[in-house]
Amino acid sequence: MTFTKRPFIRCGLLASGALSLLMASLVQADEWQISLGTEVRYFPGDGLYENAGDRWAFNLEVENHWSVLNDSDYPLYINLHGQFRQAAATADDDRNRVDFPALNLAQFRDGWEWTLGMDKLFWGVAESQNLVNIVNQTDLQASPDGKDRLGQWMARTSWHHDTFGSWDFLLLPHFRARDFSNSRSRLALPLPVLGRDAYESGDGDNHLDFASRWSHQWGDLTTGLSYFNGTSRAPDLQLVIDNTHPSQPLVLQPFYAQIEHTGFDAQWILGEWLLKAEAIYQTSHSGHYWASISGVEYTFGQIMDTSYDLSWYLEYLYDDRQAQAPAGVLENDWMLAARLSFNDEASSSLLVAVFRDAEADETIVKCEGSYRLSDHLSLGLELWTFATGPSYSRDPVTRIPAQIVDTATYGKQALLNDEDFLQLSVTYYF
Amino acid sequence: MSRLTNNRQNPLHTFLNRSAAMLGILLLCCGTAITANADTDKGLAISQEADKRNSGFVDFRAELTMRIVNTQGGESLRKLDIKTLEGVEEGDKTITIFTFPKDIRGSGFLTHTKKTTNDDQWLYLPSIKRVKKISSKNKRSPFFGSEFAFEDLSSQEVEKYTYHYLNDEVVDGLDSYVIQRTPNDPESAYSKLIVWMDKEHLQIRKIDYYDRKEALLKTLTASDYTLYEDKFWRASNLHMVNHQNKKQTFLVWENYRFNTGLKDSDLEQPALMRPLTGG
Repeated sequence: MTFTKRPFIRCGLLASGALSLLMASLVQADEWQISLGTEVRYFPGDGLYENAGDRWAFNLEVENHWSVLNDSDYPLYINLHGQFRQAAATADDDRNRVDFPALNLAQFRDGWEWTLGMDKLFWGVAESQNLVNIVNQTDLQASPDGKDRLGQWMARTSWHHDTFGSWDFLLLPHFRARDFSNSRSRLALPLPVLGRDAYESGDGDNHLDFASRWSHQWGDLTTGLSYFNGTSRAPDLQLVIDNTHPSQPLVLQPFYAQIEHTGFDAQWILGEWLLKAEAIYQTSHSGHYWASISGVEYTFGQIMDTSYDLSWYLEYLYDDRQAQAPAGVLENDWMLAARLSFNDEASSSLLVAVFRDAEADETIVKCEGSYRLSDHLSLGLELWTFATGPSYSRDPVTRIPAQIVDTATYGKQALLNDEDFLQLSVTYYF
Repeated sequence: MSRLTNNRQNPLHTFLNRSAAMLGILLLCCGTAITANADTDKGLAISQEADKRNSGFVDFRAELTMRIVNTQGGESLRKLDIKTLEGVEEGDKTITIFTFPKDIRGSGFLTHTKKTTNDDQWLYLPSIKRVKKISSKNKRSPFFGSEFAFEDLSSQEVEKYTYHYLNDEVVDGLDSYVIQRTPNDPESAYSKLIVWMDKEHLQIRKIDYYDRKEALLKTLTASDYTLYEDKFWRASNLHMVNHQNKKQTFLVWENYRFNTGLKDSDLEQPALMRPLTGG
């Protein structure tokens, strides 16, 4: 390219050069963090729709941070963290995802901080699930355990004080609905899920939600109290008739109720023991319920004179809705898990968790492993098996899966019965 | 090693034999007690003086490169950013953030060292933004695959050990004190540490770590001491060799900055959650 022939481009280049020089003096950037990965899921079973093979997806992750007003005592930070997932097969396009775990402005001054934009935060102490972790939407496409969360728009202010504890206040202006697998994909529901969500609030997904949390440390005891008022992150799946599809008019429609959600969490360190508890009380138009997780964690350091650490977890999950609890809820279950940390150069670790219903014949096993192949390459492994009682069947007359009607017989996890899978992921960090 | 062991035990043995011969059992007991106290006092005094000379740094920031070498000569690197705020009433507060390898970039530890009780320690996992308060009983565990245990890298408060001065020796051509440190915490991985400290600047030149079975486990050597702020000596190179598994770890400290204006709020949990911002 010659500049004489293209004065417009030359001017543009000069202007942008001057601008970037100016910006460079005012803005400080961290280095870009970029990672590219691929994951494959192998399903040995046929699945609900008998059309599901292996699943490939590609992941791109970028992250950077900038600071402006660097001359002042309190610079302003611009945080960007984007995650992009592209499924290889169009049948799997519900797994495509663009998310921003961080896309925000933030400022910190002494004990205070505020954040404006998209962000992710974590509340809770338990290993199996986190009932009190209410702010961010669950990303079920990433993993069935519900621990992966999506970014959430928020205006947040926090105050941390040694004596008075940590205080968090959040206004959540926009709601992100949960992504469900479509009927061509895996870990799908037995009926199509309507793309149009229903909301109790007239403001739909623009209801202004409010959340706050207070937490405090009393020596080795840490406690938290949280409150949320707004759109439930977990939808009720309602059976509706969709006349646009006469061949299969029965569909599920996610309905997001307005809820009040009060949470309590505590962790007490007693030597090698960690005692943990999470409890929530939730009210909505359809009534109220409470749920809890209580458990212990114990770590054997350097087992058998090796450098390995072995941590044991035992937790009990309870939901007082019992048989009325929605499918997928662990309402009366135990989790026993062990995590082996090898403390080696490859940061290898292996977790095995077994969930077992205290009454019903439902067992879920999860294995998670990670291994660093080189400074730039990491390997991850996830294995899920579901042994959740009687196998799936459709009622030949109504075509309604029996599980939806009769969770008391089939249990709450029956839909997962044929969905065992193994996931391998490789990530390259630039 | 055997030479050092003999050096440590000889004076005591000689004394015991002589005392027993001359004064009998009763006086022997008093005698050892008095000698032990005198050596304990001297060991403590030297350690307190070393601590005093190092106090008043207010805060520092530095970058740490950790090179782990296994028995086959294979190497792996870790890079960490360290911020430490000096404690007055209690021990120092330190934030350690991984910057390399990239898959654990942003993970970090916050430690509030306590002088006599267990340290407070938090772990931060950036992928789920979770801060977890962890038991500091895991101090024996290796620090991310290195030959350093958590307790080797935490702030070495004077109150954490009982001291016993052993003798003088020349190390690296420097006239040095040899002091035995016995961890007060029964959870420590060590039965004792033998510390060589040069007499002029009270810099630690070498430490032998003995495991719970009294066998020599590791040796740390510190070199390339640099003077910062006209007052504070810091070793640029630390080398830990594990005699039992033959693995080695090299630490290189770089870009030391003192008195950087760190505030208390920079070393609390919220700061742990913004490791790559906040300067």
